[in-house]
Amino acid sequence: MIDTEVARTFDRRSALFLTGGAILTSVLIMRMLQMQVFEHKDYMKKSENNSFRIQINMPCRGSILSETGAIISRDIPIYRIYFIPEEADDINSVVETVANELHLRQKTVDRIWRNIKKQQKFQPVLIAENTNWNILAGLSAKNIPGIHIGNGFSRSYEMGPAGAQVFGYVGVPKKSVPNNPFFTHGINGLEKRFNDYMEGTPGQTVLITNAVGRITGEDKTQFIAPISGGNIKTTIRDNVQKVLYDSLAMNRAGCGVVLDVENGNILAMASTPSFDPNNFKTDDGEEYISSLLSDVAKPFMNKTIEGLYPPGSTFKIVVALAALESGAISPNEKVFCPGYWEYGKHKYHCWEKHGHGYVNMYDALKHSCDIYFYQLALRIGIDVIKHMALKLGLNQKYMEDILSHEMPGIIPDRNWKERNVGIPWVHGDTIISGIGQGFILTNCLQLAVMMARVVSNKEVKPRLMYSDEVPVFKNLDLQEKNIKHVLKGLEEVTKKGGTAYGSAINVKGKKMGGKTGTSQVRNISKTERKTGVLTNEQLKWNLRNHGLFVGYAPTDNPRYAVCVIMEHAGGSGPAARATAKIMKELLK
Amino acid sequence: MSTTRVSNANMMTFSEKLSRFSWALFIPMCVILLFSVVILFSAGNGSWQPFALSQLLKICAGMGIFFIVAFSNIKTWIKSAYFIYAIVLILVVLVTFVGDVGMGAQRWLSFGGINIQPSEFIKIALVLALARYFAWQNSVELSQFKNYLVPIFMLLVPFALICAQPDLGTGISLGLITVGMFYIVGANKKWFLIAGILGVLALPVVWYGGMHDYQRARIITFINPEMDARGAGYQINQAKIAFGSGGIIGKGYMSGTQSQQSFLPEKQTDFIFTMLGEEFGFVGAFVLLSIYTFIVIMLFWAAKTCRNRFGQLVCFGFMLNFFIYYFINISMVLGILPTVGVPLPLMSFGGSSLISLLFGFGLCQNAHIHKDQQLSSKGF
Repeated sequence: MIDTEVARTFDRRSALFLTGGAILTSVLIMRMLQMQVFEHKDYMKKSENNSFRIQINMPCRGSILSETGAIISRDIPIYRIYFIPEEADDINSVVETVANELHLRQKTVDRIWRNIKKQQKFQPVLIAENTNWNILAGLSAKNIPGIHIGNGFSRSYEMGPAGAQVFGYVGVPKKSVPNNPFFTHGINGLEKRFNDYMEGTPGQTVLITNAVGRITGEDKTQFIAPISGGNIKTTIRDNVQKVLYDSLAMNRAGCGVVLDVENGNILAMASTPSFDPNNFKTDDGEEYISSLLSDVAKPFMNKTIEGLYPPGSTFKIVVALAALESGAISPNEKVFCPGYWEYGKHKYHCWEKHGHGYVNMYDALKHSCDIYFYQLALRIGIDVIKHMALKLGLNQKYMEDILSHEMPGIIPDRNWKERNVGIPWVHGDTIISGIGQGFILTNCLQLAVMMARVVSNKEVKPRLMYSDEVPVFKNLDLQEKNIKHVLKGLEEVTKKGGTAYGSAINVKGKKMGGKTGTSQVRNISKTERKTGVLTNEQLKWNLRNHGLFVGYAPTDNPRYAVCVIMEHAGGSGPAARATAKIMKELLK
Repeated sequence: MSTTRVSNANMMTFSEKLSRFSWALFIPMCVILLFSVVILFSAGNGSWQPFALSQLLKICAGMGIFFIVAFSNIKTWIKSAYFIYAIVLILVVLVTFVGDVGMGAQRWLSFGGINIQPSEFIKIALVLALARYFAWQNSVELSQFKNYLVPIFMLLVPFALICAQPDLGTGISLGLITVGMFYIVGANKKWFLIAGILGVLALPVVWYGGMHDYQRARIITFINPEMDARGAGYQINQAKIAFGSGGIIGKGYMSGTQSQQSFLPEKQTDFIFTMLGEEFGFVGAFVLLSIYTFIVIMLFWAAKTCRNRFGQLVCFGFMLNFFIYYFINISMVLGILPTVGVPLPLMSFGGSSLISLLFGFGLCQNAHIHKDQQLSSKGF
């Protein structure tokens, strides 16, 4: 038996153990409650964040193709070196080591530092793309903590600046995509319009990390392969596109459209000054972009549909056809041009100070006689002109569902002027409309459509997306003989004495016809002067007239219609020469 | 009190012993062992390999030891108490100098492919030796300090060796068990006060002179776990995330994202409670803690009702050991205490801890079966 004193001690002292045990057990239960009940949400969030490290497998973005399937823009597979700052013990030394290893320029290093400071520490910072394999292997052998090498895609714009506004480019979205800092989407142009179709579906790789957070393996059951995006095929003919761009690039600014009359295919569409999206990804990209943004000639604007210009003398085609269709004049009727025409209180000048003498319609088109068309316009009136202008496709939008910011322009009439200018229409308005000045505004694409409709007598509608289907255009029901009369005049334009004689072509007997135009830009200079952003030099350039040319070829069986606008080129010569080059390329 | 009912320990029949067997102590122990196999099956990502089957075999072996010990003559253990202590102490000495290194601590001895952790056995051996030592001392003897010198020596030798391994968790456990035993047998309260003061004064010496870098790192990490989320703090952070994310009912069996995807280190051993918490939530963790508490209460009851001093002290010492075991482990994985490397009793994967515990449970059952025996220190 146990000594009673000892037994008493046991009973007395065991109370302390029981109390202590109860307290300690309560502590455990309270801690469990705290973690699993009250703070459960926080832990759950942390658990979700670190259960997997999900790596997005980027799909190959679809290509933009030319009419023949040649590549305009595509994704090319690249190696990308990136850096996750939080994984490095000493960010300074990592950046230094990598900079030495890759021979990075100071500019690149600055950019890397900017990103490191700007971004959250777990987000990857791009070090370099497209590095050569030897350097890459050397770097990966060094096993620098925080430095990763990943596969990816980089957009390559094979056409460079030729049509960059049309095709667009890709970039990082304003709102960054979680887990995927190198995600890009279409910023503008076709890249933006067909982004959903081209971007493809990303896949995922689920990575497992070990006790120190390093990746040790992959959960293969959760792997999802990316699905490549679809290709889009345009009507662009790459060689023509290049010729158009190169011709335009000879001038400071301009735009041009080349149409296939038969199916409305836009074979070329370009604006200058342009930009090369390939440069955006480089270290000088930011400066490059800011220099583009400050350019008054607006490099990002697709001027073929966003730029509005007075059509100038190219509009004479509309007036001539309208007059013939209405029966107001016969092509042989002559009008006397002494170089000016006084009507009412005004004296209207011909561009040829000395006058053209007696001119019929063919001569008037050939020499672009203003007096003839002043009188013709007044004779038929603005409503007849407007009716024909609309019939020939002016004042309409064609690219609305594909490209943004398309401007329809203005074909004025009485109501329009009263509504928008607030004063009644006067005869003077009709007269200057006859030579495509005044309130009339068109874009480059519309003028090309106009040319295509005149030569085909069909309601040609332009299209940018390729289809094997040959569209059936409605007949315009213009009298064939009237079209012949106008085209005869336009053929004369490139003949001896014509306003575009210097741009005549002869490709195996195939020739080009067309119409020159110059348009005044005084209203632009006024507004520019007000804003005060221009230097005198630029102002001078800005004051010059736009030069225009609408052309078609071959003359015996027209297949192509072209409109080229050279901003502030002074005259129509450069535009006509550019058109000639394009036609030569098309006809060869 | 009616000694007539009780036959002499040497003459107790098996059926007599079976009728005195404590099912209240045995059944909850079996429930936990069964549960451990279930959890280890999940820790193997839904496979018997590499943990569950192996542990099941160890449980079978351990149960054999348990039954042999439980139904043996209590006098065997009184006789062999010091001998067992001496044998285990020799193993501790061996492991300190020739043992295999794991996690920066010398802990394992290999015997023909079987790894033994003597530090697990020394806890039981010390309880046995202390019980044997104090069992026949009267209240006068127990109030004299000189009678504690031998027990202090019995603690300090293995304590020093184990802390040098350095297995901090076991060292602290040994200290606490001994202090608890001293207190319950009736040691003067002033001695604890003096020992406490001396201990506080010794702290800086231990911190700078007696600790490994990784131990210091663990304590620093314990104070500020966020400081080093990828290094020493990783383990405890991941454990807390796993446990906390379990919520009230858990993520479901074999669905713990932390545990199943190897974010949780040592999930089958020291951190098995976290896995339980992640997959079975608060409900699962609370149930397990309740069973542990029930076992502790039953051990206390066995001690309290034991009419011989040796059995009482064995049960009480083992109760202390068992409680300290799971309290340190659970506190550690819940971030209440620093990570010291103590397994969760009956749950964690590993043979030494399991066998030593089943041996201990066997001793307690044995004491319970023989609770009405009068035992003399001389006449055995």
